[in-house]
Amino acid sequence: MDKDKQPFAPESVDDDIDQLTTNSSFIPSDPDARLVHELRHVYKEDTDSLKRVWERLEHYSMQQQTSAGIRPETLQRPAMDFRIRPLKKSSSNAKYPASQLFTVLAATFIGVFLVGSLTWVLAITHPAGLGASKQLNILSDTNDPYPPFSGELALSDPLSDNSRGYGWQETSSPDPNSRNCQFRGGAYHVTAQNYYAPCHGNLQASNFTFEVQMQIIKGNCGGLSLRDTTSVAHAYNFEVCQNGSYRFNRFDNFSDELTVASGSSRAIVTGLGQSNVIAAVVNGGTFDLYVNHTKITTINDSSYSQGLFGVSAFLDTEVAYTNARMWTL
Amino acid sequence: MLKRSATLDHSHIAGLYQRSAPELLLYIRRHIPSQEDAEDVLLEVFVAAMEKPRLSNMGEQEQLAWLRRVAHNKCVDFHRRSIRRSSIPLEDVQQQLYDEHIFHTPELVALEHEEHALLRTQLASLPQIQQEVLRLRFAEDLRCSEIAKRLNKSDGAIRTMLSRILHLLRNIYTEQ
Repeated sequence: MDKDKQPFAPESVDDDIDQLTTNSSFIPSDPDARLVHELRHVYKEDTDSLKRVWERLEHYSMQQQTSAGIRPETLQRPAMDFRIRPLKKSSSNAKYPASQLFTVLAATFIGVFLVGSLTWVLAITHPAGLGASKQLNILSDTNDPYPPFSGELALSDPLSDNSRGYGWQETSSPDPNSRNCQFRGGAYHVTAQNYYAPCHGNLQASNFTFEVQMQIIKGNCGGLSLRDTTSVAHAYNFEVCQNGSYRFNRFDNFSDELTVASGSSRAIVTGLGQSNVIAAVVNGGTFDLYVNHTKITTINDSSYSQGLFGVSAFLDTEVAYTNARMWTL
Repeated sequence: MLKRSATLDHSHIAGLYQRSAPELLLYIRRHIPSQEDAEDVLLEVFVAAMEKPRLSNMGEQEQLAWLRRVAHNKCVDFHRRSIRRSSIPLEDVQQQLYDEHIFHTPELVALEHEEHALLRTQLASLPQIQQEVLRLRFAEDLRCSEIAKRLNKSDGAIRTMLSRILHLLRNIYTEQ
């Protein structure tokens, strides 16, 4: 690098960094080379840390799933055996010193009394007994997790095959629009060779929440097809791409596509083969769009009020979909 | 159904981790210099996130604010615990002895540690977008044009931003 030249000018910043990068473990004496060396060191250290912590988190998550207690209460303080360096274990005495023991016992007694009372009230109001509590568990698992939390479950399908009666479209080979909709390997695969390929079920809805798990196998973007009337080609599409970007499109006819909104979100897990849960809450002219349970934007558009819903792929892309759920609002 | 719920949690946490963990780690390392201790604290933050199902109903910024608050509290807890239990990881001592023996005098090693801490402090105080640009350039080795595409910005904007950040950071090494 020219010694008279000011380093890191915008037009040469990439080249300057490359030139100042050394693979030596010695710390350079030149301040600029030192900065680059230190930055590389810091970020390498952090990248390694992030990988290690993620592995430990996954290990912890697996432990939680495989242990008997998948119940929420077992997700309390983590067991220390997943830690690389064990920390000081706190005994129950340390957690509750003698001065607080009475308070803890009193709280436990009140808690037991309240749970008992609730059980008694439920037994009176729901004579089905044990069946009632089972029903409660099922409901809590199928409750609409998206605001306004008021949807009623209308579809729940792992999308491993077409046996649930939702009539998902199937093609044995790419149809004239180069679209392919197939159940394969326990997932619903949508392939678009040319342009936009939606694959729908046979349900229609106006106001609903639709959620599905998406894995882009090849190509760029997949998404949700919403309020799609195939006969007149009116549709909305929420598109999520493996590079972290998203688009919300409106189709007014068979050829024109209007991008209503676009952007990128760090909620999208980027890269091919990664899993993302995408969802849309469609209510009147408002579309709340979610990725991995994080709201990324809200769209207002009242052009179309009803139609089919389904999943889609864009331009030389194959996407595998699993675990679809829909709630009517 | 239970398996499915677990998968949902996993993808949610994966997204949350990808977009928040680098920034949180910078923050934690600013307050807890030991890499291993910082990893423990970061892990505790995300375990807390897994235990909070309502987190998934918050917006992106709200989630990040919650995680920052938890990270701050965990750092405070860590220092409270450390008051009674002052220790230096064995591997740090080994590395330090090795550094001192092979490369530098103790004064130079101390100076380097100070610079390192100062750099981390500066990095943690940068706005989120600037931290992300530096991370993409130095951790993922992306060129400015690639960073621009990833962040939906122009190539010129990224070049200018990176240039400004590096000029700010080089003061650590030139003002001595």
